[in-house]
Amino acid sequence: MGGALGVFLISIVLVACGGSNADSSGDQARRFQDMWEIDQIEKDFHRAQTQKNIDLMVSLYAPNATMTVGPGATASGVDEIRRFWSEEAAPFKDENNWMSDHPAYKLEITVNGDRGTLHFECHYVDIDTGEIVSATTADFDVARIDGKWLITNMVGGTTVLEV
Amino acid sequence: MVEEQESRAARERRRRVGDPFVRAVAHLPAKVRTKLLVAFVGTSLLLVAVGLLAQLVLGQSNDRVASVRPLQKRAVQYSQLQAQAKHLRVVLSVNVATDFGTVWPEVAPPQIRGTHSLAVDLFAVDAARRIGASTAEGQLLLTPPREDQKILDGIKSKADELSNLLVEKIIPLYGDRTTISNENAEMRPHRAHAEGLASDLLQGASRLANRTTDEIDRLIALNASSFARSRALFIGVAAGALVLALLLGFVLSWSLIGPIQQIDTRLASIASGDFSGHVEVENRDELGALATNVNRMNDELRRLYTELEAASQHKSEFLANMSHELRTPLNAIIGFSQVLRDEMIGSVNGKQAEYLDDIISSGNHLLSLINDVLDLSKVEAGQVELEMHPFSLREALERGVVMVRERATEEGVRVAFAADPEVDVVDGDERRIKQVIFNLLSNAVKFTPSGGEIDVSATRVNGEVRVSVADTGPGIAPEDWDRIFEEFQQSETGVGHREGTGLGLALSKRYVELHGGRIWLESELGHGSTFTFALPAGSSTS
Repeated sequence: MGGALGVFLISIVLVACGGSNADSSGDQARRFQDMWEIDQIEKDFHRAQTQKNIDLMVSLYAPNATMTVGPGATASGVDEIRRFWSEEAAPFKDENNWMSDHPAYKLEITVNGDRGTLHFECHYVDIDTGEIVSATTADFDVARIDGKWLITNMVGGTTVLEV
Repeated sequence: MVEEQESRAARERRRRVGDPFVRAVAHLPAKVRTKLLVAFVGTSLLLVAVGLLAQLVLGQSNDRVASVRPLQKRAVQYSQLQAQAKHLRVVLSVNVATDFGTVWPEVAPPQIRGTHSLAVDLFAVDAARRIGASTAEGQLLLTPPREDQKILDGIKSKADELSNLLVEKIIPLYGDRTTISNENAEMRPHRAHAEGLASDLLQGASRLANRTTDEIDRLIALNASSFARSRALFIGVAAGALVLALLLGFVLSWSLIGPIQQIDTRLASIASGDFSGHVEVENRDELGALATNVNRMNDELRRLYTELEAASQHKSEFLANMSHELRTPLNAIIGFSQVLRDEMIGSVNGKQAEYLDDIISSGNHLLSLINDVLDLSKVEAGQVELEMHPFSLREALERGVVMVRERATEEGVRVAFAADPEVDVVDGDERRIKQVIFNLLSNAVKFTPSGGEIDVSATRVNGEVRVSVADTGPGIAPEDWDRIFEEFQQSETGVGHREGTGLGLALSKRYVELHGGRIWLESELGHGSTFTFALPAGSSTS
């Protein structure tokens, strides 16, 4: 009986000392992973414009996302966003042969759980002339939906070309 | 099967009693009351400890929940600040500059396309000023941490810079107009600068909100972790307390029950006449003392039993010898008195004949008494061996009735006999059973007054043959019912009677019990008595 009692007491001590423990290194790794995935939105955003890949561009938005690109110019939902990009945006016009990119130091990402923000500048270079034709900025709200980071809101703006 | 189970139970009992914990408790030099008190106090302390621990765990949990509240309040304030910054950012984006118009050349309505609006910029001034004011403690309704305060200072600085930029640089460019072309070269860098400041404000407010919500998340995760640890600790301690309480109860109870069972077993053996063993109890409490006393009682009873056995043997031998020695000369006295009375050696006168009758009557009475004593002594000495054979109980009863009827008639007592048809032959010692019948009938005649009745009956009930002798005598008090079956004992009525030795019923009881039967009495003072004896029907036949 003494042996059984000892085993029982040891089990109790192990149970008492066990339990979940906050793993800060795991949280940090997860945060870096989220930031990398949000950064991929910016990469795809510019690749979609450069390649005129409207499906890729639309795939970056959440189903009910909003996008404001001018006074009275707010698209709501992916259908309107698709129309805005395909019909209104100059980079997607056939006559324009632009390359879209951003200066790396003009990127800012914040993450908070399943939500985050993304800000970057966007420089458009005319491939034919090699000149920068436009420099803009955009602020995004992003969210992890069904495991994938997507844009829920975008506000476009202008900036001063510093390069 | 039953013996095997009892043996197994005894082994299990010995195993438990032999447990080192049980033995250790049994060895403690303390009274049972003290041990029980310690056990109860110990269990109570364990309960109190569990209760205090629960209180502590709940208190810690409550503290952690309370620590989240100010963070939630701060998060709400920062979220409002973030919303204001986002709103300002959107307002400024309405007045887009040339470059954005390059990317989205036709999304604005034609009426305002390519223009900036004074009203929008004035609205942006108000929004920037509200943001600056919102960073003050009085507006936040809280005291921000030092790290947050630095960011808040930065936000206020940017908001002030933005409002100053709008008021001092951008709005004057409108002059008397309400709109201005976005191609205005002087406006463009200011506009870009303003939007950059608005973006910085949004980033700062978002950083604040995110920091706070992150902190809440971290605290909630920490709470969950702490709660899990506290719960595990509480469950562990509660389970431990339960096990200790059970162990305490088990050990203490077996340190008491084991010795009690041992003592009970020994007492049962003593009750059945086995004085050979001793109870081995290691307790140093009252039970140990009780076991010692039981052993002493056992030894004393064994000594007394041995002495009584020897004394009884000596008494039986003495009575048997004395009866034999008395009966021999008595037979001579009776025999020669009878010879004289029968005038076999000469005539006797009337007075001599009367005296001889008295000698013969007294001699016969004395001989009967001696014979009873001798028989009783033989029974007690175990020297009586029944001569079992089938005989007719009905005939024995009829003869007994005939033997007493003459005397009963002389006394004015009527004797009736009735037997069920199925009562006839039984297995038994005919002579002893007849003696029992005669004793009961003689007593009935002896104690039934003139005019009374004696009913003799025999029935067969539940595998027994029952013989009852009922009289209408004075009856026997209930307190005498058992006593009259003992040697030399008579009821109050019998003591006053001129006849009887007090041996007849004792002898009858012995004989009936030797046959495996029983004898008993039902009586009520003033309403007669009924003596009944029952014999196993055995091989009796009707």
